Amino acid sequence: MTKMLHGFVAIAFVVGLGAFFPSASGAAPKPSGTLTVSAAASLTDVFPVIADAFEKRYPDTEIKLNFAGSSTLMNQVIAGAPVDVIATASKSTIQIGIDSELVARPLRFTKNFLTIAVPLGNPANISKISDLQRDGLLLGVCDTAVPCGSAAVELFTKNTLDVTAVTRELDVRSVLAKVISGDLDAGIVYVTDVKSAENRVEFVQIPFRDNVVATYHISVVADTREQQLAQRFVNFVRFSTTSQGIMRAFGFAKPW
Amino acid sequence: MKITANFSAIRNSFRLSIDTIFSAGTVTAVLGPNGSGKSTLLRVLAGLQGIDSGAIVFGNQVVNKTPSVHVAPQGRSVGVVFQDYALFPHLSVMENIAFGPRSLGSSKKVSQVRAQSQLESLGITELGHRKPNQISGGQAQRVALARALAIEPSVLLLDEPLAALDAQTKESVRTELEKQIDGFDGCVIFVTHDPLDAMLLADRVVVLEDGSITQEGTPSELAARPETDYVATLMGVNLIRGVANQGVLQVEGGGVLSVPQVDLRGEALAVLRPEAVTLHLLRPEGSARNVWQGSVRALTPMHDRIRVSIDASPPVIATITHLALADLQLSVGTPIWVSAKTLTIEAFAK
Amino acid sequence: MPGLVALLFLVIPLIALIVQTPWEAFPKIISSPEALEALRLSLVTSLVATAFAALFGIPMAWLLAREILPFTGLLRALVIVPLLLPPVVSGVALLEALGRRGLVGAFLYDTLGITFPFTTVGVVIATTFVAMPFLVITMEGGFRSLHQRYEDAAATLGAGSRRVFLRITMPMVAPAAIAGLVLCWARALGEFGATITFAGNFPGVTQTMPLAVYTALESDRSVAIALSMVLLVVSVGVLVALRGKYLQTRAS
Repeated sequence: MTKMLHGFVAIAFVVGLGAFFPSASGAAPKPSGTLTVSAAASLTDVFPVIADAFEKRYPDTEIKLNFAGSSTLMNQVIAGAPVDVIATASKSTIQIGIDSELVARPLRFTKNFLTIAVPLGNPANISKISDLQRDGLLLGVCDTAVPCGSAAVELFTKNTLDVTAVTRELDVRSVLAKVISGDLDAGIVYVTDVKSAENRVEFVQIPFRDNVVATYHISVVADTREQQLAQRFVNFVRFSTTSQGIMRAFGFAKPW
Repeated sequence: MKITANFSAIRNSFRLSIDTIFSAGTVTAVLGPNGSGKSTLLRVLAGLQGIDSGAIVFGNQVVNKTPSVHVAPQGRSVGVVFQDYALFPHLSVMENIAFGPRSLGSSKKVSQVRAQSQLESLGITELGHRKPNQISGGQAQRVALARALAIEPSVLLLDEPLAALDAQTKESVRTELEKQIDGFDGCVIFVTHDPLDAMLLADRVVVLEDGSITQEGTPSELAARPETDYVATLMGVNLIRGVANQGVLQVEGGGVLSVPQVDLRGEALAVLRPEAVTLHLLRPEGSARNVWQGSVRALTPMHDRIRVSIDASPPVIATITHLALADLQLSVGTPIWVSAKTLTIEAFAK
Repeated sequence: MPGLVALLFLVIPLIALIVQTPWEAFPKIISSPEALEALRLSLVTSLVATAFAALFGIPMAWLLAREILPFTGLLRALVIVPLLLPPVVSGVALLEALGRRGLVGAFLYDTLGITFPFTTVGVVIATTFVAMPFLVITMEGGFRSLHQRYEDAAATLGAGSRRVFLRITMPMVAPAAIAGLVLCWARALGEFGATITFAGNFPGVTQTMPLAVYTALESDRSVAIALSMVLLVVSVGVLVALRGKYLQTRAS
């Protein structure tokens, strides 16, 4: 009788242990579930591709993407929106979340640089960053509340430029749209934005030493119900060769 | 100022054809049933609606001539009194009357003086500061008239001037209107469906039926010789159609009447007053040449007599006293004999 | 019962807004240059837009009501289109028409050097575009209910069309006109999508109150709420001031 009990307990122990150590032989359950991911506007083109790749790797999962200006996304999380992962274009926008412990430690996953977008044909003949000081130039930037906007301010300060924009859009894609339509002579956007609009816009490169870098951060939202899956997604974005390869293709820079 | 109107106007597939003259200084009543085009005629004369062919001349001024001439209401010297008066509700009575002179260029002062004198001549001075919703129907009619007269028009057009009033007010207002019209030396044209208005106020009557003029003449001519059923009914007489020959009228639809007009030949109309028709329960003896049989179709009481409609050849309307009705004990369907003296009939060529 | 639900539905968010307003910081927030700038811009552009809407919209409404032009139905549908479009789409349409490379804008820029985007004039254009239909619809209703008889009478009394319109027609449709103008102004005041898309967002030039609120939302939520409260107070203030007029016209 006791011998059988011993054996029974031993088997239970082994099986139990097995659950804690998912092996390559597939004893563990496959990842599944739905994730809601809020991502900064400048990730509008790249994240769907990364999400697709993730879903292909783990077929029982679904990624729902939500794009907006980084600070709007943060506000949504603060207001209690059911978001599992948040990816912003700067650390500062996510800082509020860190302070109120709404998000886990933010981790960098890619970098982006600023560039000057100009309409096809460069009608205002912009060749260098100091040209932006020209009187009467219609320059568009993002509002300082948005990462792209504060980056632009940093850019001007770093290069001691006295620049006046005519509009402070609420997300970087709006700036880009108005450059494409020709209503702006120039716009400060990300390198990735002009790359995604390849045939419809030109750009003037900002030398590396004069440029400002935007470091993108990703974080798991504290209230998430999909802790494991969220963590898996974050890891995928940061470390998988697939993800980094996609980002490189879109013009994003290495995170380190 | 004489008005010559010879035109046709079409609106929503209704065609109004007019060819008549309104003589200077006369009062003309345009009489017709609803839908006959009376209001359209008024609107055309006022310049509020255009014509499709023909011309209209006011005195020396061609106001309408197709295809190119159409003088706007502002350019015509017409004063219009609309049905329901159309007094401007946001202006006082005084301002309403002064509106015309003011629009034509007079200063505020002069316009007010003019308005004041109009109020006086119509006996409504005390109403000057009231708003249109604070005066009675009869008063409103006078204000509307004063407003139209204030611009000293050559032509005065009135659209059913008494229609909006109750029976009691009508009498006094009609008398009042008669006085005002007498005092006006231009051409007056008013539109009405009430023959009493025409009879009492007009020098001349133009009968309009279904867009065309069917009869023109003085009120007495109309009463004596109505030329259409409508006029006859209005005048309250029997109108009989037929072919006359040597004092005998072969009635259209059956029947024969003896008429005094022996020289009359051909298509003719005969007028027989309802009062001249006598009714008998049995075939009458006596001098009357016209005796025929029928039955009572309807009895219509009027305030001092009864109208009896009789189915016969020809059908006829007779009026008798209440006493006579009681004596004869008539009711619908009663067989009855009708007679009329030849001399009471007037026949004339169609 | 459904009426009560509707009332609560409308009132509760407003109450929440009032409760959440940072009342201690309120005076400082609303007297800041940015806030005052935005308020000034909003009031000026909304009033100018209403004036333009009246200048062009009232005659348009009269033409529609009296069916003077052919294809009245089609014209009316075109005038109402901005009512049906999402404001951002209206902004895009305006860019396509009046932007620097727009259908008409290109001509204006190339020959006269005039542009509308990023200017205060652009704000007026955007708000007029979205708010005018409100005025046209209200006024058309007013004109329709006015019997032609009064205008006819005035004409026969010698008044030219302008005098008839100004002295007779307009005074008689005054209640509808007031309602239409207030509605139009309120819509212009609250306009966001078309303004930011067509005119952009720059303090003092194109950043009206709604844009200031949205921008503030990105950085400091309590400022956004305070600014919203200002808008609310101004709007309610005007409506209360006109309440007497509404009641009067109901009685008459």
